[in-house]
Amino acid sequence: MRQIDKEKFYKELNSLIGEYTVYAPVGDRVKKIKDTKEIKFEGLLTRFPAKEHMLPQNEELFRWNRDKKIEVKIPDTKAIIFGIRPCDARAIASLDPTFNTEKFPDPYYINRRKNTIIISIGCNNPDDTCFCTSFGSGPFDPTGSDLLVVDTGEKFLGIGKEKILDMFGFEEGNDGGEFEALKKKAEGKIERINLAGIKDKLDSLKETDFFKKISYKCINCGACTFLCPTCYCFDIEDMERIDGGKRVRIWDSCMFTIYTQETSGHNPRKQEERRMRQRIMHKFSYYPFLYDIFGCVGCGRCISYCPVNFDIRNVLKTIGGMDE
Amino acid sequence: MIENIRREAEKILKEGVVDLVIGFEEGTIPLKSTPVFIEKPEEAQKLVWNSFCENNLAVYINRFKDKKVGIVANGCCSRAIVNLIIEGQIKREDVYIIGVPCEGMLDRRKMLREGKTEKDVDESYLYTNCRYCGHRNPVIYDYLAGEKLEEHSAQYPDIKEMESLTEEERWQKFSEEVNRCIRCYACRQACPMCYCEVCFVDVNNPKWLEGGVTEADVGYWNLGRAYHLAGRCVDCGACERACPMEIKILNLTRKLNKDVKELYNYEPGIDINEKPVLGEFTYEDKEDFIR
Amino acid sequence: MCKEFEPKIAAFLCNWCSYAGADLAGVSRLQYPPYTRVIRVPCSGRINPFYIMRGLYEGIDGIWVSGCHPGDCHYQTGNYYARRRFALIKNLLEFIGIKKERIQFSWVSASEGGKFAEVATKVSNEVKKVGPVEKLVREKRIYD
Repeated sequence: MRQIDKEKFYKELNSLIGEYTVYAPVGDRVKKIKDTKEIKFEGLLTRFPAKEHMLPQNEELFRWNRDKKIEVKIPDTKAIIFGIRPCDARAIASLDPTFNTEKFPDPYYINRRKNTIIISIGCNNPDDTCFCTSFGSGPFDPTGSDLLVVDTGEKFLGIGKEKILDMFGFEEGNDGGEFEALKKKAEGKIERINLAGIKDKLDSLKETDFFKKISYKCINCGACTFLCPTCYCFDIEDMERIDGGKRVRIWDSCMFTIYTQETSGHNPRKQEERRMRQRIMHKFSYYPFLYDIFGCVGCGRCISYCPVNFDIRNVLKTIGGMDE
Repeated sequence: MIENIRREAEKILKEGVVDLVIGFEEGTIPLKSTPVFIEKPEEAQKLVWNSFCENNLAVYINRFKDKKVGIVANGCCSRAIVNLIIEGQIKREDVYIIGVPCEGMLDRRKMLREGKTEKDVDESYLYTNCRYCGHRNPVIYDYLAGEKLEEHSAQYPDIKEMESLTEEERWQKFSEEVNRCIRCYACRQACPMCYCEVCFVDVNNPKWLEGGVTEADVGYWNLGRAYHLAGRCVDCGACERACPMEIKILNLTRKLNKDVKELYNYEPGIDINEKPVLGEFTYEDKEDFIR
Repeated sequence: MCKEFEPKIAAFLCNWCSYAGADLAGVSRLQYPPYTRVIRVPCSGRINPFYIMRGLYEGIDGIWVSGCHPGDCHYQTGNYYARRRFALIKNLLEFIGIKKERIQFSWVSASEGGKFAEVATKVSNEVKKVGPVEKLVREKRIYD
């Protein structure tokens, strides 16, 4: 098990600032830091997932001037995202099949992804809203991260790509079974929901009363979609000014009433239950159908921040308990 | 009091007075009660009333246009219902109100940050608008579930304090809060008075605000929404509680409430026969700011 | 090479009184600073407070709204409703830290050419003194 003294790791990370743009948790968001002293872990998860650096809320696609000359801006700065949780890292990996497709590759996302090193930190103390183990993952899952570090107090244990481990100077060593012990303890705290056959059960539900009743209390606010690390819906807007204009991509939410509003005035998802059904089907039926992975990583942000305490875990358990 | 609420809810469902009762039940995360929609009389036992029933249930009434709805309403929720009736959104006879005198809701996020549990329920965690609430008893009801509480008039010490700061300090306070906004619109959706089919930010012609999250965009979004609630906001605080970024939206809405009270002696949502404040005028309205 | 700051002021003038008053000031050859750009509206009651916010959002340094005197509105009551709206929007914007000189109101009648020039001068000087608007202004140009 490769390991390194925490101080040495932070010193090495500090020296990389400049060559790389380094993002790390500062309180409740993942921000650009100028010095590793700014890093502050507040609670388990940052309020905002790290997806805002892969898919910015306000991203310029291209700009034009009054002579109709178009300038495309493809991001190419190298970056390191440090200190996000394994679920967030897995969520970024889950965005890949959507944006990195053969037919329609998204150059903005692909370039950012290519130039970013993701270093996640394992969860020694999961929250009671976490349910990542339901997806075959866990608090120390390195999927999606270039490097996963585990905090043992004095040292960081490291699992990941050889190149990154060498870059920081991780050394070979014996962890004395500490990794396994921490992993077991953390996994024991996480609720595991049985998701076997959930896709088929959802497909058979169609538009029954079930979705209508569970979506009564949803106020369609969009907080869950904005804080969800796997949500990626966007809208495209033109900003015109006196000397030219630019086309930007901004976040949108499938829970907004006007999300599917068509120019004719028709809105196929005007009722709340249709939007709720779409969200659940997208995450647990359509995404698995297309890419063999769920569109949810079990981070629990939607549960903690929903103003009316809509709990996706209860919905999944209810569906799981139905006969097919 | 909770027994009275449950009994009354069961009664009105059994007798067919209403098709549905909207109330609160126990939540799935600590220190939270969640809205519940009861259609069968036996489910009335699920209803609770505690210091964590922080949402305003009046937002749900218009979802059930074809049903008669019963609702468990405290002071601010009943004021929202009166306002909706004044503005022609619901009819009085379509709503059966189980009135609940309310002592205020506690700031669950603050309590969780300090590691407090249900045993630490304490007045010091009251939300600002609950601490200075002027209408703890429901202003309109068909059945009163508990004894009326003593009323104080609404105070605004938090706004007075902000008014006494210098211009730069006030700007600092405002921009610090508003810069966290992510335009998720949770505040708008949680507010019972924000029922416009197309909100001003979604209108394309004219396009009032652009879609980004620059300081100007989020600043005018919050100011614009607060302004549209002038004379209509019932100070329930649902907006601030719904905000995932914990922005102090109440600084703006309460400022307008205070102005409307001082300038035009009007408190929204009290009298069902009054007209909205911006739909009326008197010859003596203040105009000292006009040359 | 520092040019003196010339503020941009949008003047919303009601057609029947203030606009006519501005016309009279022009015909009478009364002088006032050239910073105001006039937008004619049928009545001060037509002013959506968002016009004021939108103006500041785009970077206009001052907004001046002028209407008929109370009791003389061409549409009887338009300016009475407007009066309430103006008080609330002014208080709100001042509260969050936008300088109060940027939002001005006046009642100018059709025969008050002199008052129009006087108010225009006062407004222009006050806005010039507080400088260009910086708070809550959207990006003015794509290419800097």
